[in-house]
Amino acid sequence: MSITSDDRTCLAQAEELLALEDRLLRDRQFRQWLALFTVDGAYWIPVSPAQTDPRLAPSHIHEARPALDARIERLYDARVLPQLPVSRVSRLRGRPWLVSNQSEGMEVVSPFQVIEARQIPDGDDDLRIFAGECLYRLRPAPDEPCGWRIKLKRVDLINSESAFFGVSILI
Amino acid sequence: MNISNEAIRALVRDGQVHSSVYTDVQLFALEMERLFHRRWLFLGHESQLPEPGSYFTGRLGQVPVVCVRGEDEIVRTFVNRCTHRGAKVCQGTSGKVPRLVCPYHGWTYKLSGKLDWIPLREEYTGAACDRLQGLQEVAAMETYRGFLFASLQTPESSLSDYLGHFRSTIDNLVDRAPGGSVVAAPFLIRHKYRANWKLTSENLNDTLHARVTHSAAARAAQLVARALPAGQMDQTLSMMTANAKPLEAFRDLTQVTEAGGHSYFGAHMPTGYGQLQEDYADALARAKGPEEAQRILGVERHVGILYPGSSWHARYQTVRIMQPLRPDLTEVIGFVFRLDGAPDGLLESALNYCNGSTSAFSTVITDDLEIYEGIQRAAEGAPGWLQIARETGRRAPKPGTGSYPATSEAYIRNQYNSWLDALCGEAA
Repeated sequence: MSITSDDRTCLAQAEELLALEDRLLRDRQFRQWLALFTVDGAYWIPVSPAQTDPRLAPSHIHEARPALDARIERLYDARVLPQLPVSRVSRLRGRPWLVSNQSEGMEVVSPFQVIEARQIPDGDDDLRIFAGECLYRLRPAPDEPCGWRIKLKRVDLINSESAFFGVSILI
Repeated sequence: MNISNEAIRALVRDGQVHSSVYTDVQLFALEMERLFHRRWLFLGHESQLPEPGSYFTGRLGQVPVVCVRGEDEIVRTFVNRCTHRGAKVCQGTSGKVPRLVCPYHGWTYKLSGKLDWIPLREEYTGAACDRLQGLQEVAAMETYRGFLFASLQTPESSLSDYLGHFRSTIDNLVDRAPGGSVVAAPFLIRHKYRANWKLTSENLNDTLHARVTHSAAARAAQLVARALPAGQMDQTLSMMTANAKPLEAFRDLTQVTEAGGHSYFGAHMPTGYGQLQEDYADALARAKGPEEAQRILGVERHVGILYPGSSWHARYQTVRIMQPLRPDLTEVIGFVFRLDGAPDGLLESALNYCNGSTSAFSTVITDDLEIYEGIQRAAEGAPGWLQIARETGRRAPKPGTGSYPATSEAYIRNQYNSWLDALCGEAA
């Protein structure tokens, strides 16, 4: 794919958006994070990279609003059982690359590694790695500082088929 | 195994159970041998095996098995172990093969399990020839309305007797399909937790924990629901807030216990998905006639527990396997089924439930897993008697069914009745 100067501009904007997303998740600013999505935006963690449609088979998460609102509002609650105390999360993000760039929007993919530390006061503390690639389907949003909103965030974990222990953080 | 029946019986007394049932390694081995290896267990669905050579792997208790459709269309279940050196014959979770070929030395089995070819056959002589065997087939395998059940050892009862009244829950799942059959979705979903398998069985019909354990999720969902435009509601929010009902509302629901340890209680999550529900009801009425459609949709049950291995939710088209791995490690595997002839959106509604009740990332299940793991750690560090006495007055008649308020712990006592029968070597 040949890269045009428009592509470079778009990719730089996407990079800015993803950096903002990481900062918001790091700071537990979940409402501001959700505001990065379009009103019909969806957050999807499939159980297999081969999954093409979240409406045909189960997913670890496939949610849009208002279910996503409830997911993040729960994280603000002081009494979320598996978050006592709240997990500490380290997020590493690789540079995104452009998958497609058309008039209705662009798609970028970015590799990530998220490390979660969970204290279990009377048990063995948990240190877990979530790694994989995120696909972002972005839509132009001239009113946004970055110029884009997230229509779909698809998180492909490298171990997506695994049986996970409970996960309460956002990837 | 040196635990006497007397010692096993002493672990369960009137309205109490001893926490060592969650932790004891010998008891776990007995549970596998006498409960999981001698009862019918749900393995999967025939739609997962569309043609000869289709297979999927699974477990019956501690034993890895493979389910294969033969050239003769018959589905058989084999221990997934080569009879030569014990290597795993079928790899991965599913696939399609012309023959079952061991990846170690190439021993080859027909889809019927019979030995087809071995290397250097001529070098086996005398008694060694007699020991050249096909794959070990499980003692019993049967299909009930498309669902595959198997028992490693000769089961105590026929599948039909084992299911008993629970057949009506499975019937209801299939009857809900206007086209008359259900099809397994192409992917399964799994989670696991560091605690005993029974903690799931003992939680799935527990209505009292919902408003306490899941309170943060319910508060969050209520907050979001209040901000929605009037009249608009979302299924996921409804499911999260349904948990916050007052105890009296749960008590008004009915819990049904059945011989064999099975149970269910009346549905407590809202039914209305507006136009989708109406379109679906119309399709069902066209296919089955209005009266039969009404009867089918009138069977409103929340999670049914088919003891000991699986749980069933007909209305949300979801079945889950509870797979013990160790006394303190359990895997749960979720299947969702598409109803033939139903509008497409109905599967999405089922998926909302299946994901919410089986995903490790669920805003609700994560609470339950935290509880189970806490119970397990306490049982290991501070063993003692636990209470299962609520609503002790009315005991489940045996055999047959018992009926209780859905706030009763009768279903747990019913499970332990069946557990004792199995572990002490008596028929269910």
